[in-house]
Parts: sequence; C-alpha cells; structure tokens
Amino acid sequence: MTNPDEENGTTGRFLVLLEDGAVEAGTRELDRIAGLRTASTAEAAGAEFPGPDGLVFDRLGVAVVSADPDQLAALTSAVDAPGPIAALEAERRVFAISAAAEEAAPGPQVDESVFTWGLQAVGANKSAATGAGVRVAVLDTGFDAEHPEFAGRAITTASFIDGETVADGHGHGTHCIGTATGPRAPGGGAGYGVAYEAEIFAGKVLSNAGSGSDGGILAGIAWAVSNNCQVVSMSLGAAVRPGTPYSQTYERVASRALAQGTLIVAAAGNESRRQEGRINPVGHPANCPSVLAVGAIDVATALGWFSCGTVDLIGAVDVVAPGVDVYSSWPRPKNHNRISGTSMATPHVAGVAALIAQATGARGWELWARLHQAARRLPLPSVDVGAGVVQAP
Amino acid sequence: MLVVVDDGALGGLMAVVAALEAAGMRVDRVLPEIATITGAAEPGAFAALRGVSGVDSVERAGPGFSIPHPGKGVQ
Repeated sequence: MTNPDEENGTTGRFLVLLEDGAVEAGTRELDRIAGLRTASTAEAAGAEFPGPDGLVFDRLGVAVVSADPDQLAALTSAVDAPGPIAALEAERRVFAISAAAEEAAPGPQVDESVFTWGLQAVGANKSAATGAGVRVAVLDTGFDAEHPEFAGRAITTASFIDGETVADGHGHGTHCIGTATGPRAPGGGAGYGVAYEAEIFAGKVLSNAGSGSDGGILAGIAWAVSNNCQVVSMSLGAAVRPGTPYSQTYERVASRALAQGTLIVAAAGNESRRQEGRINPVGHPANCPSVLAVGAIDVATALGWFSCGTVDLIGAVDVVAPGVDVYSSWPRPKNHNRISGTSMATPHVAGVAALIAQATGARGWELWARLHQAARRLPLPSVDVGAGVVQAP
Repeated sequence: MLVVVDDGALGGLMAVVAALEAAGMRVDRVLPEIATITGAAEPGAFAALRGVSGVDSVERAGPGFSIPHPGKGVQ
C-alpha cells in the first residue's frame, strides 16, 4: 500500500481489493474492523461516490473508501490477516470522465488543416469514391437543412416525432449527417464528410430533447427502406444489462432490410468506463446480429474509454471508427462542433459503406461483408473492435 | 407493442391489422416495407395478438431512447 498524497497523483481515498467471490463478506468486514459504511454499485446505479464512506464495485470486487489514519491502520492489518480483504492501495487520479473535462481537452494532435483526423483514419481523403448515387439515411434528431455547407445537396427529410419538424433543435443529427455525408472542402476549416456526394435522407426519430421510441425508429427504418436507401445510420441506442436478449423485432426488420439492399449501422453505446475496468454490453438495437454495431477509437487508435464491448453471447462489436474529438457540422449559427461518442463513430462507418456501395455495387449482406473484409485489423481484442477500423475503397 | 408479420402474410397485411385491432391492439403505424405493425395493447391481450393468423412475433416496445443534451457528456 502507499500513503495518500494529494501532490503525488492520488486522491486521499483507498482501493480495497476483495478476495474472489467475497464482495458481501468484504463489505461487512470493512464495517466491522474500520466502521466503514459503503454502498454497492448494484444498488447505487451509476452514482459516482454515494456511500457515506465509500462505494463497492460488486463486479470488480473492489471498494473505494475514505479512511482516517486509524481506519487505515485497521485495513492494513486486515490485509495481512486471513479474511476477505486481499490488498489495499491509494487511489490514483485518473482521467476525468465528466463532460466538462472532455470538452476542455484540446483537439487531436494531428494536422486537421485539410481533413479531420477521422477522414484520414478511414482513408476517405485518399479514396476516389464520393458516394454519388448512393442514398444514406441518418435517423437522429433531424437536420439543419439550410446549413450553408450543404447548399445544393440532394436532401430528403421526414419527421417521425409528433409536433416537431425535421429541424434539428439538438445538434446531434446535424453532426452525424455531416460526418457521413458532409463536405470535403467546406470553404474554411477541415473537410469532415466521408461520402460527400451521397444523397442525404434525414429522418427525425429523436426529439429536440434527444428522446425517441421504438415506434418512431421503426417508422424511420421503413421510410429509409421504401426510399431504397442503401445505408441507414443510427447513432442511438438504449443500454442493456448483460445477458438481455436482443429484440426479435429489430432483428427481423434488419434482416429484411438487408434482403432488400439496406444495411443498418448502429452505435454500440457509451456505457463502458474502461478506466475503472468496467465494460458494458452493446446496447439495443446494435446488439441484434443483423445490425452492424460500431465502437469508437481515438486519434491514437486506442479504444474510446466509453465504448461498449462484447461481454456476452448476444451483442457483438462488428467494427470501429473514429469517435473521439470528432469535428463536424452543427446547426446554425454555431455551424461546427467537436464531440465524442460511438454516435460519432457510426456515421463514419455509414459514409464508408456508401463509398464501398458506389465503388463496388455491393448491397445488403455483400456490403456488410466488404466492410469487414476491408477493415484494417488492430492489435486490440476482437471483443472490443471486431474486424477493426473500416477503410474507404 | 411491436408486431412482426409472417413473410407469407404480407399480401394480406390489412387483414392482419384488422384482426389485431379486433384482438385489442390500438394500431399506430403499419410499416409494409419491414412487415411490422406498431401500436399499444393491454398486457392481457398478448396471447390473443400472438394467436392472430399471419403474426410472426409480438414484443413489448422498449422504454425508449435518449441522448444527452448537446454539450453534456459523450454522445
């Protein structure tokens, strides 16, 4: 163990490692020997540090506690004695997971004067394909169709949210559409669009407040299929617990869409906290076998700390794409924004799919196979990255 | 409530809709492109809906989807 040292990268709190299978006994022991009352993550449901004295990460067998010198001495003795407490160390400062810290982070350390790092990572800037003749539907919070950098583009819109037009009152949808189909030469700033000549189908299935329902999303998929969109990009999802069956409805729908030449790409989800060793499963509906699930990498080709992984036999990450510090379009008057999430990785894949569809004529399952075939393999676990980073033809 | 229709029953989709309504479903949307019908029904109506000729599966709709407010957190 080490002593707490605020100036030495530690927090003053302590990590208590519990023996395998001894979470309950260890929690009782913390109270008995040191009077430490802890809450469990199973009960706290995502709370950061809710117990009076600490938090027990049930699935990790680790407790994070605040301890005074007497309590610390008791814990140290317990490590050396038989019992459920296996080890003790000072808690280190880790990367903040708060939104504010993420936003304050500087942009990626690559040259983005001409193209975003994301376009470079998928090789879009070196591809002769443009997406011309391919229809890409983005089902999201709508679109600022009057954005000046989309002037002259073929844009079809529909809203599946009662009482709201397709206008994007959130920003998420306009950002995703920008990555999948936005400009390569916007006339100032980095080019950010993968399939920059694709036809844009903007379906609003999430409200301006960012919420939606299965009914609206299925209606959006049906609209995309009826318009013969070759690619549907869905940067949306709902978190699931490990072992939750995938939706039979979405699976049949995605399978039928593939049979009709429409590939559905969806975000794997942002529920992991990899700094804490916590990996959450691919969410709904990306966990359906016939929906292509997309994880996120950063500019160093490391996995996004939030990116969901394959943790059971149900959901699987199929591919990854740039999803950290992604620069793209945003509703006027802001015009641009730089944000992170598997939501940002998903339209990179949709754009690359459109390029492959144009270059090869592949549709449906063949398009799925070519995305996998061409993906650049990574020295990372397949449960996290699937076949690797998608690559433009 | 999400109802998937058998491939073989697509030609008679409106008959399936009528039978679902007779079995207690309030139909919101009929989506022939993906052979799916969405709407609402009391939980007690599940068995009757599953028994409708041409129905492949009946599933409860999820609690919904949400993304954070812009500028707040990972998207």
